Amino acid sequence: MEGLNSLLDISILLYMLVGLLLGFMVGAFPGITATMAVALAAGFTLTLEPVQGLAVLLTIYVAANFGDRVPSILINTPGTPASIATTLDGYPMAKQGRAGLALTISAIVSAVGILASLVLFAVAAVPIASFARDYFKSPELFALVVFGISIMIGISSKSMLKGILAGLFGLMLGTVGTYAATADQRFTFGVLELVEGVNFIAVIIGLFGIAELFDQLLTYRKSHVRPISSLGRWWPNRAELKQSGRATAVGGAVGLGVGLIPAAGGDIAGLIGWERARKASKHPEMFGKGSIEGVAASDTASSATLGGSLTTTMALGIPGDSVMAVMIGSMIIWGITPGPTLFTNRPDLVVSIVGIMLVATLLSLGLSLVRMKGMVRLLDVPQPYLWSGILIFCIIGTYATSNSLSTVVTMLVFGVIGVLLKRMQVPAGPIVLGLLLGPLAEENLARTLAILPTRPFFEVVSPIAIVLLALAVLSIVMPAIRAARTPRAERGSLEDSILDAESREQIEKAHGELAADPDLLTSTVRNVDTSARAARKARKNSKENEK
Amino acid sequence: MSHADATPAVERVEQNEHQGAPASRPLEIVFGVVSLSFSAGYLFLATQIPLRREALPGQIDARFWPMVIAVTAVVVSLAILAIAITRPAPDREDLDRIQPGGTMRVIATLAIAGAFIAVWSLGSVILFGYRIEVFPIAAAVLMAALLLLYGHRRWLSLIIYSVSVTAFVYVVFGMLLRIPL
Repeated sequence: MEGLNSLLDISILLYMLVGLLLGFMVGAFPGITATMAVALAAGFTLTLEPVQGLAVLLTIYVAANFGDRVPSILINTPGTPASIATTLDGYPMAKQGRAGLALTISAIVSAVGILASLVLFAVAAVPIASFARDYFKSPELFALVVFGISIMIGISSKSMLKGILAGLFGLMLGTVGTYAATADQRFTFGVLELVEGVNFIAVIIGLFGIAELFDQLLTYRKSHVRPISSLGRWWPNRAELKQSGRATAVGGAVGLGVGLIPAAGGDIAGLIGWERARKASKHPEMFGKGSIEGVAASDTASSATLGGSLTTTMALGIPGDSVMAVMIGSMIIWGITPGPTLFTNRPDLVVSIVGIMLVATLLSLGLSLVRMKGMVRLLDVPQPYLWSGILIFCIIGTYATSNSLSTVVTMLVFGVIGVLLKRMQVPAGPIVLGLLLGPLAEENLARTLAILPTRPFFEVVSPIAIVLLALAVLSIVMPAIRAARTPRAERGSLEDSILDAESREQIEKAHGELAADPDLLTSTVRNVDTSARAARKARKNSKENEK
Repeated sequence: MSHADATPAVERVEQNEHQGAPASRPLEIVFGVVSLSFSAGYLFLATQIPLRREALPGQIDARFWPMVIAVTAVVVSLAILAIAITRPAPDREDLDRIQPGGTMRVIATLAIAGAFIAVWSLGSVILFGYRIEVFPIAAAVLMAALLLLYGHRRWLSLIIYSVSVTAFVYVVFGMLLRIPL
């Protein structure tokens, strides 16, 4: 009840509206990820009450998940990585003049996915937290942190070594400051600002905001991308709804499962959901050519990860995806530490969170269905406005966390480090996780080592800890082995590493057919992406054959 | 379409399409060397952490955890360097290619942001007997300079955008959130 009461404040609704607009906009602008938006908003929400702050951040998280489908469908460019799979069928639908239908279906199934995942969160969060509180002592907590970081490395890195290095770099950053157990100072170099550690918000805004901005500045090319403006019919008819039912169910199941894996987010779930739905469909041959089932499956799957991510984040303190890593950072600053004890101390928060997410989902759904025509115009905002706006808000947002310019300088430094690492394909996720969880790992390792000599090994280190550590090793070793077994020429993007060969072939073929059909609407020069890549690969192969 | 003009078509598509960053072995080697020296430097500093008192038996001191991280990082960096030297450079097709002028855009952005921070740190200046707050002026100039840098050339919209964003920031953060800008 207390949790619900705290939502009845009118200010909460206002903060949610701000979050809704922001979330929708960042979702719709390609190149601004939800992580970047939440990192930026974290700077501004520090002065708020926790529930008010959560209202802003969670609403951005939800609304971005709706907004990012718009550019996927209309210009074949995902607004955030979570909607990669939406481009597979959403864009072909738009080319066939069915963009309105794709947008509507996408909004409806996203809402279904999030609502289903909220049920999961409401049901599972407290039991998981209680289980963890009762059975997770220092060894298990240490193992859990290692597991969380390893999963993030395994999922986000192309080269496992670079991913591990990123995680270690984050752990190194986490050691800067005062060591809690003995009050010794480490790596502070006599600088007062470093005694309390590296400013977390400055690091995340640097790595996810400034670094992304710099990367766009480096690689931006003027392209004559025009969103498809003929949107066609909006409402699905009964047959279409019925047709997408099965795909929605399959996608939802995939998303709920993937969401519970720490660090695995909507991008992966969307692709897996699309593939599973294709296998379960009565018309698998239509996938990739503008199948309404494809859109339904990928969007349900990627949206259904939200509740799972929230569950691992809040109940275990291990972020479910990179947005959640940022969220944990803000929550710690508000004085709430996500983890097993959170819900036993503040059970009202579960209710508040579910309430915020529920209202945010319904508001986003409403906004998606009503304002889509306006959203299309957002895609036309010139880059100079966007870039200069991002920069000044990154600067002010960081400054607001500490009222000190040194924090702003830290942020810019991490922006430069971030873009250099990005160019070297070193992922930023493990860095943030290492920084965030490093002190927790150290503390629990210290306690474990302290009790270890006094009692038999297996009494201290339970099977839970051993299983978690084994899973941690597997999560890094398995992708590495799989990568080593794939021929070099076939290693490619995220899409290629998740989808199997048959699906990739079907997508390429479908895109080729679409590109060859002159009667379709056109918007962009990026429409035959995969087939161009295939052509390049073919040429590469033929060159190797000549040798 | 005959076979002869098929190749130019592919070429043309490639020029218009997504361009991946080129794979580069020297770059990978440089990265290996930098990460190795960084890890080694961190390892050295970790051994130098001043301890105020000895750790009790069974307790780990402030050096232990940084040492664990440092040794692992050195090993990983060595492996990265070894792979960079012996194996062909990995494909970087996921990354967009750096465009001409891109590096300059980033450097100029950093320079402008640095100048902005330097001017902002003055707080306020006394001019003709009046105390003038620097932030609003500096922020508007920052926005205008960035817009110009990014290729915006229409004066009216440039001024309107710079002034309105600055006003928004000043009102929301300076006045509503009471952040001492």
